[in-house]
Amino acid sequence: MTTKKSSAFFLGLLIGIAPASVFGQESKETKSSGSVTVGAQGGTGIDVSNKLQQYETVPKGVFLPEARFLWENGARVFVGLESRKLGLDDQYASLSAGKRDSFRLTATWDQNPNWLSNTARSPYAEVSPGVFHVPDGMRQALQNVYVPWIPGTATNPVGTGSAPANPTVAGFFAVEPWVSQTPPIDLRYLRKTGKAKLDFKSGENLTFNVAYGREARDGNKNTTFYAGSYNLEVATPIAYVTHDMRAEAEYAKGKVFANVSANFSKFLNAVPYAEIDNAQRLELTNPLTGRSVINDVTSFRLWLPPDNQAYTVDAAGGIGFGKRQKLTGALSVGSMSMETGLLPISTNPGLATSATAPDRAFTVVPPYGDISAKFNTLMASVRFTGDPSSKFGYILSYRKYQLSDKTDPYTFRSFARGDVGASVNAAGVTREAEGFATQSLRGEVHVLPATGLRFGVSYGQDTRHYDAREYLDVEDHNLQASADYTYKRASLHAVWTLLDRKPGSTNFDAIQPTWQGATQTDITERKRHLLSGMLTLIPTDKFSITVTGQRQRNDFAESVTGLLDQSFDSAGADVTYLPNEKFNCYAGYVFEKYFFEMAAAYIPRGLAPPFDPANLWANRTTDKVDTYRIGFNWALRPEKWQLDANLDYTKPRSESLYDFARPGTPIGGLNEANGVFPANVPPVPGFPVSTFDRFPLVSKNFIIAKINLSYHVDKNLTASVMYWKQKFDNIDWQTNNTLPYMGRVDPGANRWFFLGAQVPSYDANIFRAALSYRF
Amino acid sequence: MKRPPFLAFLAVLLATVALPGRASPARQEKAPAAGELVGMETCASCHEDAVKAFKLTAHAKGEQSCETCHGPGKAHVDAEGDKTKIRNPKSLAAADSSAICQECHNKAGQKHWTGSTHDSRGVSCTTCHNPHPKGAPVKALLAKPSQLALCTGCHLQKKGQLMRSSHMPLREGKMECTSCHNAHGTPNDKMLLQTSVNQNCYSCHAEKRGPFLWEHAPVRENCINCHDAHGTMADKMLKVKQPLLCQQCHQTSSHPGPAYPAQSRYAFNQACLQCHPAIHGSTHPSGNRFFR
Repeated sequence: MTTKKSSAFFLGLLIGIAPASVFGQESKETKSSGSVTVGAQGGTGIDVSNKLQQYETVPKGVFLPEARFLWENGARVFVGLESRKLGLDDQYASLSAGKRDSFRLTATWDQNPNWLSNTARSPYAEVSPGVFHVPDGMRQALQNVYVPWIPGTATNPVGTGSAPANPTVAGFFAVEPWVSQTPPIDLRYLRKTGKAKLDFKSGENLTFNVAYGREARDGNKNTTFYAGSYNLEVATPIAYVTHDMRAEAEYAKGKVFANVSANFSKFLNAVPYAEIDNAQRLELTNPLTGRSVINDVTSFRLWLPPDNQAYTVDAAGGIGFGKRQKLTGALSVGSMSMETGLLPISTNPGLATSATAPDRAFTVVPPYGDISAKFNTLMASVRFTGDPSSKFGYILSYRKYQLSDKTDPYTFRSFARGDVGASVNAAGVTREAEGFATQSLRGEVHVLPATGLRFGVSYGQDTRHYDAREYLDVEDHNLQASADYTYKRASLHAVWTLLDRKPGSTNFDAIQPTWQGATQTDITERKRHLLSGMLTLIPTDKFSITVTGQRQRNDFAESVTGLLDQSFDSAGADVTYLPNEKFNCYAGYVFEKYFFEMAAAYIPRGLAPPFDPANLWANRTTDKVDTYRIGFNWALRPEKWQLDANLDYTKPRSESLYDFARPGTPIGGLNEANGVFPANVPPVPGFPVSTFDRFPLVSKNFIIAKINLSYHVDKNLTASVMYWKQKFDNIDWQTNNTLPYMGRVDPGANRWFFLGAQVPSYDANIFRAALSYRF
Repeated sequence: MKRPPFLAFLAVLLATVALPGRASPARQEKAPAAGELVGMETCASCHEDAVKAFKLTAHAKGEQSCETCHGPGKAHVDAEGDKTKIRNPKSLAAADSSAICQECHNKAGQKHWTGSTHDSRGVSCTTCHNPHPKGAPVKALLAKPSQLALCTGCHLQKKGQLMRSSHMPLREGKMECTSCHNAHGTPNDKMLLQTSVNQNCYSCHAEKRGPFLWEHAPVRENCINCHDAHGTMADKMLKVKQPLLCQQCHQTSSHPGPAYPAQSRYAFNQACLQCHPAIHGSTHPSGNRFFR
């Protein structure tokens, strides 16, 4: 259902049913009520940035913010309609009808936009879904980057050239105007979800429901990929449909309940592949190695998410033994699966260093015509709770979750143009099983030694088993102590948690982390301490204050590289004041601080650890956030004039500092080319050249404020005006400086092109006038 | 491989079943005699505002009355309003207060309340719900105008996170806390609706479900290894910006090892994902390193 059709449908339904209220009001047993709000809106700064309207549409002109209707007769048959922002991209509408305590039919339509960027540009034209073509002139310009350029011959129709070594060579930036002056495109997608659900009862104790939902997502998103010697970024299509079906039955009587449900979900992607012109179709020589680099394929194929499906069957039950002792259990079994055909491929992302002349006629045919992948899921849990006395209680629980990898161990050997070893080794790469299982056993005891006082202690043990990680299993021991105290006008809640995590046996069959470079050690051995508390004081009936604090620290295993430290602190306060029936106000503040410290080092390709300590570096990233909130509601003249206002302001910033191990050594050590932070790389604008020791500061200040004045003309009609300010100051080096062409920032990217998908700052001032009619 | 002492757990379970439980003072062991009830209109003679508010709620439309929750009112009326002669859920211990509501609300979404995280921390039904609110009733009789306002009243850190630039659309009204959690408890961690974090995420992000030919182990294990679902400073709700996020695990081999400045093609724009876009998993034959 298109946006316009759906909005017209629901509006028509609402208008059609509303007059029924007239008939309804004539009957003593029939009741109806509802409201319709019409608004007119405009302002400044609305269209500057996608970020304002990332998840919601801010309309200009007349629109329908809200409409509701509810009708019910003496037999308790009812019909309800609700809508928000009909006709807009973020519209919502629902219809519910039925008979109370008997059955209910609910249908909803919900649209959710996600606007990723409004600054993207692309030289690619999407000539059909997922097929991207680039102008021939641009391809020639990109090839002209390589000098000296030898035109194509009969035996080598593509031509040859070698990449220029530095920006002083003519033609180095030749592709820039082709990329920077291309048409804008909208990076955006829209999620449309329609759901229908029927609930009905059979007798007093049995309830059923069946539901179906269809979600469609249409639009695009930015995808960057490696094109053999450079990177391309295109707006790959999103054309997804997800079907969800659910059926459930529940029995509840007295102390017993039982519930069973079945769910099925199917995901479909109408565009399984994107085919993208190779804008740099040529054969050239690597100036560093002297070896030929082949990149003359016509197009690259990107594999977009494949179709998949999943089902689960869930059952739960419980029985009370009276006097708050209760045993509950739950069981869930399910499966996720995918099957897709494989196509012949004639390109390889690892094209770089072919030692022998290529065979252009060679095509890689995958060893399998199609592949299928499958995971089975299992969850089982049991919980027993009880309060044997008014002073003592307990909770015991056991839970198991298992993800079993049922996919075959496919093996692929990928060759570039018949050359063995150009991309993967001759033995090939075999898919590893990635299943795991978690078992949790927990017990808690709580005591209530005095009125309002409660102490709790719990201990839990979680064990995780892995198919193919560095360790076969990892064990967590959790200890928690809590205290809760309520006395007259004060309450205190405090909890302390200790997580002690340790790895178990080493899995010698797993791919070794030194090859992958992804050790599991640091995240499998740690002690984490968490302390949090909340104090609420209500000194008078008119005033309350809540103060919270939280502190988390992690002690990781001693290691030279990896995650070294991670911590979190927060503190906040919330105040509410209600001096009388006409006025109330509130204010709040939260401070958060997140800290990450990690270290890494560079091992040149082909060498084995240990690494050269001169190549060791560390990074400390600290995120700090201040969040403020203030507001009030004021009945200036009760039942006539109402003034409401609220303001939320958040000020997050992130500082990321490098720390290099050995003074005097090359800053940051080595990398694959010629060193990190080389002196001849121009700095980020405004950033000092000499201090390559950090990332530029990131800050994303955000303000949203609304002030609304309402006038109740009579008991049915209300007029209101609202001023809405929303301001976002985005200082983010990673996206603010992203341009379609970045060759002048990093000359190594002189052949690369992107979408330039920034998220601009904005300062929007929006004014709305509205009329609401209630009946 | 150590197994959790499941047999010991079973033994404790069976032993505790044998323990006598206490009587809940909130639970009515038998239906009150007709003479003990006074009716809602009698209550309204003193508690006019509360009764008026109550009549607007689903409880009143479901033919419940004041005495359904507060117990028989005759003794309270006869004692001229003695507060000790009537049951007030707000003055009871949390578990006893909740037990009143659970006489009816012990199924559907509330069936796992007993022993849930909130219950075990002394939160009662009346902490979050107001059965006779002032003004128009809020959906589900929440004590505050919205779920977001209610939940973040205690979970202040989450309130701050939801205001971040990289966030789920809760403050835009397109999602609620109950889109992912059931505050009344579930058999799952963090009161999630689904059996795991990933299953919860797949309910909206089905394209990430796979399975894939080549899996990225931390992705398959838990989405929150890399993301924080409540909101972060980094794009895509990542906990830390790339390349640092990836370098926390990929520390030493080849090109993930060096420190990169902001102007490096390994750091700006999509950083590591500029070459490894299929980071959630790949079905391409050459996708074992997520290039395709």
